[in-house]
Amino acid sequence: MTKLVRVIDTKRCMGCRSCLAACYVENHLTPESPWNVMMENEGGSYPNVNRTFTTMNCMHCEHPACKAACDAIDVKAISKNELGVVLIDYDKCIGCQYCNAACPYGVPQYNNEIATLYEDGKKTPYEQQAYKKRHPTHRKKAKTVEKCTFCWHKLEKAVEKGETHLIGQVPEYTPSCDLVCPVQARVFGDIDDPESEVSKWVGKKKATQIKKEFGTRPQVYYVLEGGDY
Amino acid sequence: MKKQIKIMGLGLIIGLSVPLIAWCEDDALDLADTAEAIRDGKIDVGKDYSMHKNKGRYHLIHSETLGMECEACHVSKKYAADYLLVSKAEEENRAAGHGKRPKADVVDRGVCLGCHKTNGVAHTFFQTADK
Repeated sequence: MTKLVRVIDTKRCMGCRSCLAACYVENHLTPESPWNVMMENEGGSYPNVNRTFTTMNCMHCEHPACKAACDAIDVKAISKNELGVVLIDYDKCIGCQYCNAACPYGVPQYNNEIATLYEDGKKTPYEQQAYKKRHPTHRKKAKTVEKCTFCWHKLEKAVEKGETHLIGQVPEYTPSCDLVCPVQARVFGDIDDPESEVSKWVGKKKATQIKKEFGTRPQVYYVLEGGDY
Repeated sequence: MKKQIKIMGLGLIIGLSVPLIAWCEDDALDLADTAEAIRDGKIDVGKDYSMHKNKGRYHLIHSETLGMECEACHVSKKYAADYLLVSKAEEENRAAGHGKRPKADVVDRGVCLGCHKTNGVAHTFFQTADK
């Protein structure tokens, strides 16, 4: 079995936001609904103060609350595929935002309108790309909900070529956010492979899932300052 | 004398707590029955699948049908008992720029966990049983 996970080391992250920029370029950012956000936390008291940076993207949970909410009202726009990636079908989504209300991490983002990044209303070269030429996960629609796909358009190619064992090891089969980190604060790969970098990080660095009390079993792990909890 | 007071006090506590426990159990049963009736379609909560506070099913189910107070979910603020009722009238005045209220705070998902967990009275969104 292949179970894809991401591990983010908050002790290494310096908050440069390269991962955010990479995601925005790779996945045709719509300003109102970013797929990857940075959270900053200040802690301690003077003079012993600290600041931690945490990037938040979809957790691709084993028991996704968003999917449960979507299925409960028979919309069934959210699916979880064989590699554990949770995806939203924009054609099925009715924009009710129940998924957003149920997600413990506040991941699904409602896209009210397809706005451009330029203030004068002109489209960026990326935005000019025809919808038909885009991957289905990039054919965004107004009044629907969207979120991180683990760069499924890249992983899909590995599945097509039967090279899933290379996911997380070669750039073309690795999510863009994980490729660009200048301080190697994040890795991506198969946690069922004991030799993979993610397995080693989860074991040696005591990486943990956040908000475990919800029992959604996220597939994104964090190395936290205080260790596991 | 002291013994008599103790016995009377004990009796009073038991006398008050029995109906309270019974009331709580009844309340939980009512909630479960109502939730089941909504799922079965026996109670009509409309077809507007949205977060709209007056028309959307989300608020209709929780606040009107189940009778939950605003604070039950929006825990960090206080709301008047007639908040939703008044806000329906306010909508008509929106065009004139009157009656606007600050946006409600985001609901802490930990609140939802109470009912929406495995074996909870509501639909299961959060799987806590196999932790």
